Amino acid sequence: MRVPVRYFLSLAAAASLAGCEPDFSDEAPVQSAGSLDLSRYVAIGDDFTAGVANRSLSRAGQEYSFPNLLARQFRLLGGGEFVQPLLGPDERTGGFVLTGFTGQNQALLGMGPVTFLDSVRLNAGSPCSELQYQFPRWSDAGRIPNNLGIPNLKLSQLNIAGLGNEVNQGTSGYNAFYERILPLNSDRTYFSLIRAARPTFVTVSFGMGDLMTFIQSGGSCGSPLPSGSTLTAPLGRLADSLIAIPSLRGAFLGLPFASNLPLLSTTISSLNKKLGRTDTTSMFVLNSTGAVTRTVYNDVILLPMVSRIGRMENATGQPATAPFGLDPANPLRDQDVVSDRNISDLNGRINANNSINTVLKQKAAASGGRFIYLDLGTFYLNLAKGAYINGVSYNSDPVTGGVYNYDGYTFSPRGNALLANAIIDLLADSDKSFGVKVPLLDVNQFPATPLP
Amino acid sequence: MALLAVLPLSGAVAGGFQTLPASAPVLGLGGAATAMSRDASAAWFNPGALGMLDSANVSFGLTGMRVGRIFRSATTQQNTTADAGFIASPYLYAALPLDSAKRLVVALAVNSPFAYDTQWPKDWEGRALLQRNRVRSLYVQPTVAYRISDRFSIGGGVMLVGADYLLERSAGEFDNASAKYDASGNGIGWNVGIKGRSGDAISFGISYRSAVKVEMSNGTATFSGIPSSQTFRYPASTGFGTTLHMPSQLAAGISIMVSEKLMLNFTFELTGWSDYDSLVVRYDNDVRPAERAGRKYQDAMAFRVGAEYQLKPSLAVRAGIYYDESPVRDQNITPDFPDANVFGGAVGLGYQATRHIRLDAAYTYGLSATRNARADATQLTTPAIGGQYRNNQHGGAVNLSYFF
Repeated sequence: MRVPVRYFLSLAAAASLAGCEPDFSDEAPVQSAGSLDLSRYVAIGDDFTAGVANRSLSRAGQEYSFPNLLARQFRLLGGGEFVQPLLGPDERTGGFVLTGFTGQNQALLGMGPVTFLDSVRLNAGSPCSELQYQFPRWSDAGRIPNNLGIPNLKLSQLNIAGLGNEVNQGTSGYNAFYERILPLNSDRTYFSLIRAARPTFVTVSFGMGDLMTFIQSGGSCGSPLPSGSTLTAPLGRLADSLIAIPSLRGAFLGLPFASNLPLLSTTISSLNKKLGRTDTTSMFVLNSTGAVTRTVYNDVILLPMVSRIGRMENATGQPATAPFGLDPANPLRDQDVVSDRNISDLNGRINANNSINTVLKQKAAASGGRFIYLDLGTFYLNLAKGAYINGVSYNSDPVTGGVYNYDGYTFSPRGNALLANAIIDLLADSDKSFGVKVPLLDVNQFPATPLP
Repeated sequence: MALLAVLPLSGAVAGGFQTLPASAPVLGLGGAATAMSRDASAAWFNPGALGMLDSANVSFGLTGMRVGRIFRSATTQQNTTADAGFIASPYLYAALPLDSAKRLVVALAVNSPFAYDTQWPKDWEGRALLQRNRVRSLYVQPTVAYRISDRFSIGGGVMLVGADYLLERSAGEFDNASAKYDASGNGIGWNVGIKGRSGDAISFGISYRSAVKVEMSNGTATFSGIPSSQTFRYPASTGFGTTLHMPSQLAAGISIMVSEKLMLNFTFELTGWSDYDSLVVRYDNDVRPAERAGRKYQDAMAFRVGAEYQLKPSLAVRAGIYYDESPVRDQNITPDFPDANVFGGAVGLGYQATRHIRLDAAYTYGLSATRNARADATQLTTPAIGGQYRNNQHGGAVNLSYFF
């Protein structure tokens, strides 16, 4: 039997010739910096910009801060180095840690360690005392970092000389983290530092930090709530000064409604319903005058207390003989509850006439297209509804939802990646002015919220 | 299912998850074989044509397939190339005329007409949707055909079907956690056909294979690397059930002997994918909410044209082209099976080594257009990742036929 070998061989040759893989070499990826010069991106803001997470500043929080994630994508489009004043690997400023779960799978929170020991306490003895951490000076102090997010920086402090000078330590005109990034004994104002950084592109995120002292203390500290003008006047001046820097472009980040944050989304009525109580309107709270009163329907219980309600323990986790919050003998503390009136006041500071969002919107509109206002309201609202991203489901549960941290308002690494993506989307949306197309982050590749 | 364990069947090709035509001579003709009575493979392609077989015959062989896939993410703009392994599907056909006039023929067909095995890199962007998804099937079809007259024959068979399903993905809610789904099951269907001849030159054939529902009630889902506080949502191991839908197929074809040396075949196929609305995973005792992955496949057509030329008395050369429509709609392109319409060509050889033995080989290449997949963050039932897919496929087959 003579097999016609050459015919079969030519068949095999045909097969090997066509052995190519499919590819996209004929289509370039869709990416362009448009009219933006991303060579020196500078992030301006407070806790959120700095990478504070779970009421704690740590190196991981800084590395997953939304500006650092944005800068990572900007580098694909010719963006420059993004320098952050990083803490040491094990340094952190306390904050929440997850200690376990209740039988109903509700998270229990405790406080993490503070590694900066020589801290100064302002207003010692008062429930509203404030710790000024003794950060070691940044090793590159003198150089200006790209991330100018300063934890605890208030809008009223943007133009204060000496804010970063050690001599002012122990006063309210001092910010320890700001001192960390300045050379010794520098009186430079925050705004002067921004100018000296000679940015080509900025993001500006302010306001939430100013409101947080009030929110997190249930309205007991930082009160009365700063008036609209107290917030918008310095913010407007900051915007004007930035717009005055020739050829600088930037984005003003709007704030979400306070009530869209998980920290403030548990109302008395919703929690009573969840606990199956017949009294759906009230719980008991020890108010500032020392009387135990009933809460009202739409009062909000701050997130860290939610899992303790109904347990035989008090606000600090000590055993009690009556269920927490549900019995006059074991009431909530004043600082655990934000009244419904305070919530609507907060929302007014954020998004109403003479509010943070409004002034940013107006300033952007008057910038001749060099600055845009990014409305993140829809982004926060959609988080509350939940999202499904490449097979991972995200929602606003602060422990298992994957987006928020235990504190209920800062973002996990994945949450910050989602925020960075939302910013990138909004920048592309306004391509009339910038024409920018930045590749998005693979959100799921960032660390998940660690669980026991 | 015991048979499945012995035969490592797999493959992935155009037109939904149909594999290559399971016969080297048929593949060389681009799959156009509905009106052809060449060997025992007719039991599968058209049981009606089996009634016009000349002699007892055993044909067996192997088809091999390599599917290349690349994905470009609409979000990160990164390219990912799927891990494309070479996957092989063996087949076996045997036919035996029972009477001396060869009017009554019994036959057995064993093959794997539906299979796919899609593997993406473990760490790719869609890893929480899918790292690997494999479906394998094994069809065993006892068949009987009867030649009513010299010009007309009919046939039919019962398809006993086993299939299995495997899905691996990362449980992306957590770091370094994974999920694996494993299931198998059986189903039954039927395959009938007719063949007619007008003179010696022209034949026609029509065949219909029923859909087969493969119930898989014994599935096991395993979740590993889950934080212990969350195992109430993701138990280490739980049972699940699902149903796979193998589609029906209607085929009609003609075969024309243009000259003594040249044969032309045409086949039209309509595959009834529209039964496949969704893949639902139901966990035993509802330990987890059911997961429904929308498929919404639509019926798909294929056109096949093939020619065979007798180059020498012992050597035939074959060529074919085909257009195979995808059943997957634009809004349901998912990484488990990012199918696309395929335009393909095939070439083949048939060598009559002895009076009893014929050897065949075939090669095919199929090219697909780019497909755009959209992902909707609010849509939980389409396990999609936004981006573009491109596919191509190489296939080959070898065959040995023994004619008694």
